[in-house]
Amino acid sequence: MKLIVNGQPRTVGGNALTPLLRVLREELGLVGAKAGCQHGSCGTCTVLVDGQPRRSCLLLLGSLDGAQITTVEGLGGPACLSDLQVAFNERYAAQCGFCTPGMLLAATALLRRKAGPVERDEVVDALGGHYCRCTGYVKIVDAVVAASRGELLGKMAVSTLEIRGAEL
Amino acid sequence: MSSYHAPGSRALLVERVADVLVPTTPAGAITAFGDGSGITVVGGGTVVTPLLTHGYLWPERALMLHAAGLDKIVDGGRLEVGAMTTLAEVAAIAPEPLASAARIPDYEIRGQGTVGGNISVGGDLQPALVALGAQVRSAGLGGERFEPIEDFLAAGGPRLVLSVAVPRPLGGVYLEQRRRHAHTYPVLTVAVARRGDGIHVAVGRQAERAVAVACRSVERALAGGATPAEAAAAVVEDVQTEDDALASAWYRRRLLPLLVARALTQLEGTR
Repeated sequence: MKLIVNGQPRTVGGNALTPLLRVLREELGLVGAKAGCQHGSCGTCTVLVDGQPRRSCLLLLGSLDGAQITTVEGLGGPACLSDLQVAFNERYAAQCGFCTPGMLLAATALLRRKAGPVERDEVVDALGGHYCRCTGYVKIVDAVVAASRGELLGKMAVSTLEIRGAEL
Repeated sequence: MSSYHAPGSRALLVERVADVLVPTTPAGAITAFGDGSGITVVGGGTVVTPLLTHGYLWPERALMLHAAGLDKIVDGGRLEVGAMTTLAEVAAIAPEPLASAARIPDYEIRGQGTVGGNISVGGDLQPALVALGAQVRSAGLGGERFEPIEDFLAAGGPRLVLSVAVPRPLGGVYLEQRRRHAHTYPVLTVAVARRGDGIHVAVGRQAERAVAVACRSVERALAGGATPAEAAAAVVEDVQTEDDALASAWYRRRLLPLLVARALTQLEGTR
């Protein structure tokens, strides 16, 4: 089975009935997509499939031959964060961080669809299937709206992440 | 079986699958389905995949429909949607009350869940399709059938949904009793549609996976000139309310006439 994962062609084994989440985490070592509820309810396993946000725990490998998959690892690293990631960091939209990968990918898809400023109710609709058990929804919506409007505070966020990365 | 396997371990369930069929035409899907015995159908996968993951389902044969060409939409005098049409597509093109029913799941599920799967597992489209007088084309034991959705639902048995034909109504309203969050099933859903022969009413979500019910007593009362509130009171003759984890039968019995009356009142406003 061939996939294009974060821009790289990958050949993966596994039965056609293996969930994509398991392939990403266990075969490709991409653990950004989290194994949360594993029945499509929590949203943290969300990835982009051919540009559309999808639950990787609900997608079977057999239906994905040739698909382009983007995980949170494909959005950007500490030195080259996407604007949305910068906004999440600047506006404290991540607390424990478990929901963050799914939130980021669903919101990335929203920002690409709209290609301009988004309203709060549009964010709520796009992220309505994502749980944040830290209940940090207000700041998550703030961050998505800010990113859509280019309202980023500065480069401090990147350096903060780099320092945290070094400490970890 | 554990639902999560540590890196390096192998999932147990996938080794048990003997045969995965991936037809590339509708005819191929019908042949592969046969009489439906011993086969697990994977449409959008939103229902089946968790059952596989958590070990509730151990198929010997699986039929995957993603490449079967069952996602065609024909928008003529009536709307014909293939079984693999996603809920997002239905929400974008269908008349009310069907469009609102298709918007119930969250964004990602709308993009993956399908019409065929939704009908087959007692999903939120059922009452809307009943109120609209939709017809279902299916395959299985005895060959292909094209029949009113009420007959399809009543017949039961393993059937492969091929497509659904949806007439254009003169108006429609879909209401749900609010859920606590995006992934809780609605406590109760009501669909009403004004068609050429009068107003049609259906109730869904009497319990998880329950079959939608057409409310003939309400429809007769409306045809006889009753007000929305008067007609809605008759719904308790049509629907046997049930208990489940979301709500009691008592609560649903209290709620049902109110929700039907509200839907009928809103329908009057769509004239």
